[in-house]
Amino acid sequence: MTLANDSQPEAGPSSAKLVPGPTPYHESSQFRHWRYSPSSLQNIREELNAKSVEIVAKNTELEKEAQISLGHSYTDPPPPQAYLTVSDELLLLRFYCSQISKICRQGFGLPEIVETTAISYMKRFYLKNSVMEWHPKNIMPTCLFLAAKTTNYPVLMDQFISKFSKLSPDDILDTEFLVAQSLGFEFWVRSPEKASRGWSLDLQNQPNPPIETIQKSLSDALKNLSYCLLTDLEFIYSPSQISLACFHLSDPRLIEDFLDHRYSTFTPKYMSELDKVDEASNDDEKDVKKEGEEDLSQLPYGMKQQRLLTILQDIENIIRRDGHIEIDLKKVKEIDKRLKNCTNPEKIPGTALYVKRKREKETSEAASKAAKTAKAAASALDRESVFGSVLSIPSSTRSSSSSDREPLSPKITMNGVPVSSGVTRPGGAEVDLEDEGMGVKDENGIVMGGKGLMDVGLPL
Amino acid sequence: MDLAVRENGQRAARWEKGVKVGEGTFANVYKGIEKSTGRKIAIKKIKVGEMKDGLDVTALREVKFLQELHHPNIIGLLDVFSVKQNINLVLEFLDTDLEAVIRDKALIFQNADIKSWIAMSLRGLEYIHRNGVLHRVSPLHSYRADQTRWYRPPELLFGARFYSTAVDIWSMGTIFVELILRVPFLSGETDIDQLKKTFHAMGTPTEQDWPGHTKLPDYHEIGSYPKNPWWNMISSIGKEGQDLIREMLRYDPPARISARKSLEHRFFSSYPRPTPPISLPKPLAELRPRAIAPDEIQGKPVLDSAGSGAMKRKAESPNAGRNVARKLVFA
Repeated sequence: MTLANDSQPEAGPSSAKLVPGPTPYHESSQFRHWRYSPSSLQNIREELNAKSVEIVAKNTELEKEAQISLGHSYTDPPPPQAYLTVSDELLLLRFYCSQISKICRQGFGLPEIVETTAISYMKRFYLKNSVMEWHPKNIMPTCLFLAAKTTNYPVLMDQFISKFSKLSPDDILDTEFLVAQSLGFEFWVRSPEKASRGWSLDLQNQPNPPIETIQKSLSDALKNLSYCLLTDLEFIYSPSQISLACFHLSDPRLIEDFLDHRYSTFTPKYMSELDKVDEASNDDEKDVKKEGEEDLSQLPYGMKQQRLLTILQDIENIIRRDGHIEIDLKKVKEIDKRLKNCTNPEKIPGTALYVKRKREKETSEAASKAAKTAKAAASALDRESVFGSVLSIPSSTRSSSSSDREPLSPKITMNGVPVSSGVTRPGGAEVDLEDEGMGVKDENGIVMGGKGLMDVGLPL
Repeated sequence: MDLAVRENGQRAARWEKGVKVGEGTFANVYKGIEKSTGRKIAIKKIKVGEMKDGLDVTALREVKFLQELHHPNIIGLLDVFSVKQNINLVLEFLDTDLEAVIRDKALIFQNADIKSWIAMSLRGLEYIHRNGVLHRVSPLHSYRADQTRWYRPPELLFGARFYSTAVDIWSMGTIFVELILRVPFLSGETDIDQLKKTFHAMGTPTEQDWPGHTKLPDYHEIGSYPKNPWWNMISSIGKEGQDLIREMLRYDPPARISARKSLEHRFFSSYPRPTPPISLPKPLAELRPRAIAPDEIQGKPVLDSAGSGAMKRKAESPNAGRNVARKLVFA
């Protein structure tokens, strides 16, 4: 789809100067760092893809040399057409995103917020990394593990890993930091689901609200929202716009009547005393309004009705185009097979290049460690010369405590009492996790979710 | 090199790490400067390596919220970068905080000062509540584990599983009283003792004061202390102040005043005017090195090197006035 030329901040690329607006959303990292235009998304992905092809080609060459120097036989690197294209990468990404939904809904019984956050993490990760560098089958579980923690539904590693037959804790731990770093340590994802609840309240704020229609429309809208999960919408539009479009898609009449009412009865909001104080303290940072410029903040939703309707239409077009795609498993398998031959050998354990890089890293780390130790020893010597000799500490007590891996987190406490195995709801409510099923008990003691997960998320 | 790694390197290069000023099991705090401007900053280095369950949930939560919250009365997170497996938070530099101010017995507080501190704290709190976040830890930067208990509301002590922004208002109320009395208002030694002290001071709640509290999961009957006009002991703050504190320390959480309503309370619009932040009392000593969060010091001695700063006479710096206790610090 193409974006209207006069696109406003609400739909612009995040590289352009976006001026923080008046709502909490506009202060969020999502608005500040994770908003793009469709074309800039395309550019980023093309660039990443091209760069990865280059790196993989180079490293494959190096791997060849390394293997030959070890006296091993070697098969030549794949011809260029075997590399993944941008759309190949996207399809694979989509497939693994859909796996997250499957796992959350069937296996862990984890709430929707974990699912949507993990999917967003996946999509954000692959705006900074290429599938050819990091295989999504490894990144997907890590995104899920991390999202469970950041949304306050932590799952213990032992329980988590028991659901993936081919993974070890180290597979997660080794990439968790990389994922966090790729996300820029920005973990709060604003989901349109919350906005939908808000809209369903707003919609009732009109004369003779059609309560039943609104209720029905909400459940349809939520269904439409789940189609958005595999699209790029969250990078292009705000959560409230996406959710309003989902309502509009389910019941155009309801939304258009409501907007007519809103725009015809709108009176500019007067600031309360408290907001004025807020405003005053930010005066020097505020941009001076150009003369003759229309003050959009004096309109409902900061824009004209026609503009809002156009945005809704654009979003709906994307949902229709990208939201309903059946993922072609055969194609996914074919891509995955090709990926085996064009993954950066540097990142595959066991390759000559991997071993070589690892050794280089270890050597440099050992060198810096040695320098550090020498420095510490020198300063200890300094102290000694002033205060006499340093007291020796029995080495046995030290080594035993430092070598143990401390089971430090997730550290869940209720009033200071540690809760051993369970997840906590945001309100602090504790929910028991079932041992084999990993389901969550609802208030009636019925286990939601459960077994049958061992075969989800397996390599193809 | 990976894009994310390169971006991280660029961020890390903006800051210079200086001497260590605080130490905990999970994190160390260093002084530092922004290379391009020379402005002072603090770097909190969260240790990550070797954890069975990966990145620590508490640390993740701190980063998650600080990344999103921007308010003059909330400590600012300027940047995040990593070195090897450590997460480094670049924080705005504060050279004192409310705890240091309260502990410095040489300082004399006027009602206008207390009003100013409470107003700033409530503005920070109102902002985070507006954004759907609970602070949950006493804004006093406590360094002993049991101190957090002193600011905990009765509903949490009774094991409430669903609680609200009202928990933060209670904490703020107890700090308000502490600023007046200069000793912790309710300093229980155990959770039960905390409830005892609370009820001893303010009377045991009845079903009418606090509907439904006997149904809370950890409810215990704790004596029946009579009600008395406990607010007489804080009469020095004046009638409006007493009234606001009583509204903040209501037993029934839904009846407790909100941060927003607190700010509209007559206490803040009546005489005296709050002291401008620049003129607030401030400890002469620099902020001392110390352990950084209540639950981060288990099994570790509290770092004690009060030394240099405490011994110096007035250490003026040209902008000393701006570095006053006026931030909520997430720990």
